[in-house]
Amino acid sequence: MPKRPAPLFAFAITVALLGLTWVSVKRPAAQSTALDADRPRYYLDNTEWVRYDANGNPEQRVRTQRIVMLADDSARLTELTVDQLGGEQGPWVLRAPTGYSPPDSRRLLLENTVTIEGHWPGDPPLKLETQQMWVDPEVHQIYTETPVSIAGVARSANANGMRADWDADRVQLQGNVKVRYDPSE
Amino acid sequence: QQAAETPVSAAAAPGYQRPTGPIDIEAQSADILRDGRAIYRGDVKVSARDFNLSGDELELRQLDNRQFVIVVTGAPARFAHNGGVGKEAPPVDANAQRIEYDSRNGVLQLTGEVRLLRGRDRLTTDILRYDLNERRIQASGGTSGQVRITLDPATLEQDTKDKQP
Repeated sequence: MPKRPAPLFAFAITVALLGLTWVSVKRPAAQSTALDADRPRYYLDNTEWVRYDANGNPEQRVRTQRIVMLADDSARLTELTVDQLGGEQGPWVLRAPTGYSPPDSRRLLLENTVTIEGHWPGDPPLKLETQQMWVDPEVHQIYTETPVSIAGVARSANANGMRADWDADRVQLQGNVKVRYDPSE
Repeated sequence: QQAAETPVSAAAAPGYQRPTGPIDIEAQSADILRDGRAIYRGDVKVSARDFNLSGDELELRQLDNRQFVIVVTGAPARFAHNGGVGKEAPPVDANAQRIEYDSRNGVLQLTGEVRLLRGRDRLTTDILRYDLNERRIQASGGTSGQVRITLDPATLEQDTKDKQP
């Protein structure tokens, strides 16, 4: 994957028309101190943000109630859904109340009870839950080092961490893995 | 020393059920792959309602109707079958280089340096087939042609009593 120039946020926004409000944040009256990294610069509401790959195909879609862009070029998102990972057929759908994208990074961290729908490779749907999950377009993976619980048909699992490719060809459970197979379920 | 193909059978314990309950697997890591396989590594333990397996690595292949085949390898891989519902049959412990279990029929195939203990009877061989439902052991010598069985006198006595009309 050719390293894209690292513009702050290499993304093309397909902006949902509903309720778009572009509010330029007025500088707080008492604005005399040095640039505060957490100071919002602007925010967008009800946004659908689609990232395209080098061939111009959609490879990640993020729908969020609000994105706040901060002075240090990071972003905070609320009520977000991430899907279409690797393309419109991507098997993973991730939801979280909050998300964060660090400065100078294309990664996105979903936080605070992340729920994920997806597939065991080649299997019926399954539900995952964890406290954090990274979505990484550089390596086309989702991964976490926080405990994850997984429930599927005739199979459930727990582990200390997880890593999976966007196409769900391979799901790696890491650390203290416990899986239950129940043919009778 | 007995013939290579020696069915050493023990009458199925009364009330014995097919092992269809859930199976729990623990390990340090697991890779679940699109082709239906799952590979577990590191201190692998399998526990089912009345038997356990353990080893270094386990490969589980999902089959239709949610059944599966498990292959455990280790140095050695181990298998333990408890005494059945009412503990009326002697427990069986075995180890081997490779143990395969098929959930569809409850049969285990042990290969490579197989050692089995049933109560105080001892058996060593290269290939052994163990039917969980019938608690039936079939051993064959494989490449070494050696099946070595040491039966405890008490077992011999019990077997003769069982055979008396």
